[in-house]
Amino acid sequence: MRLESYSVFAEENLMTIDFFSEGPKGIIKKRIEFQSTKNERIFNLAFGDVDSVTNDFDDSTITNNNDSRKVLSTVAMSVSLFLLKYPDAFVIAEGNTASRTRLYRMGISNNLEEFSENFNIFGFNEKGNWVEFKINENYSSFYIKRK
Amino acid sequence: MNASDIVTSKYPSVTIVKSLNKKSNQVMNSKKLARANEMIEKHGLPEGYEHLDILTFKGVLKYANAEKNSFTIAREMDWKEEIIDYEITALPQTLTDLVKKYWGEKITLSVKPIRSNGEILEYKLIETNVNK
Repeated sequence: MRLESYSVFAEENLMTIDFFSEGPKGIIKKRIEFQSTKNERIFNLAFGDVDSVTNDFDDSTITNNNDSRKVLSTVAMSVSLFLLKYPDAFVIAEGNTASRTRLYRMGISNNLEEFSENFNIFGFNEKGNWVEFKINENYSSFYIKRK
Repeated sequence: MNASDIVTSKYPSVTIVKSLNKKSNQVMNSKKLARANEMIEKHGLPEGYEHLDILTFKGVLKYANAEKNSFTIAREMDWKEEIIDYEITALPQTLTDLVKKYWGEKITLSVKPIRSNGEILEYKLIETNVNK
């Protein structure tokens, strides 16, 4: 079942995607970026709030607007769109904090049914190996790749 | 965003626009990207995708040491220039030729990392390209 997500705005190359979270704290502009890395096939997923005054985007800031499921579903949908446009690419989601890692794991778990139809998902486990993603397992980083 | 900025809408729930007014927190976001790059460099790709585990270093070639099997490039990393030495597996003659041919030029070196327990033992030179 497709989860509810926000409408998004993107440039043609889909490297940057914006959307607006709506909740008790008002309307908050959020941004998803797919950043180039040392491996030309791998893109780092960055995601956070956009400062309404400076339009500055900071990957370390996410305001809880009581809509986390919808926000995570929007990020998941955006990753899907990106990988449909770039079928050879990998997206890496790197949790720089425990809470951010949990957030990514939740986002993947919530959307796993839909994700796993078209994508391979890997997690980096405590033993230091990339393995197939399983719900309720602990991982520090994630790769998503179109099948 | 004005209606005139909208180019097309090709996916459900996605509006494609000419340009998003982008600006990012360079310091914070670069730290995050550096962590991802470290992960990619140390641990590569999952089993079955090892052949795609190729890293690219872009920058101006400054120096190569045939005896030490190393080269130095001034690498353009996001918002700053960084001088880094890399040890690569290549014949000394290849390194000498590399410098003769590309010294001072902006180049892209494609290398395959050879790892053991998350440690990179060496980089095998795959390809050299001059950036246009």
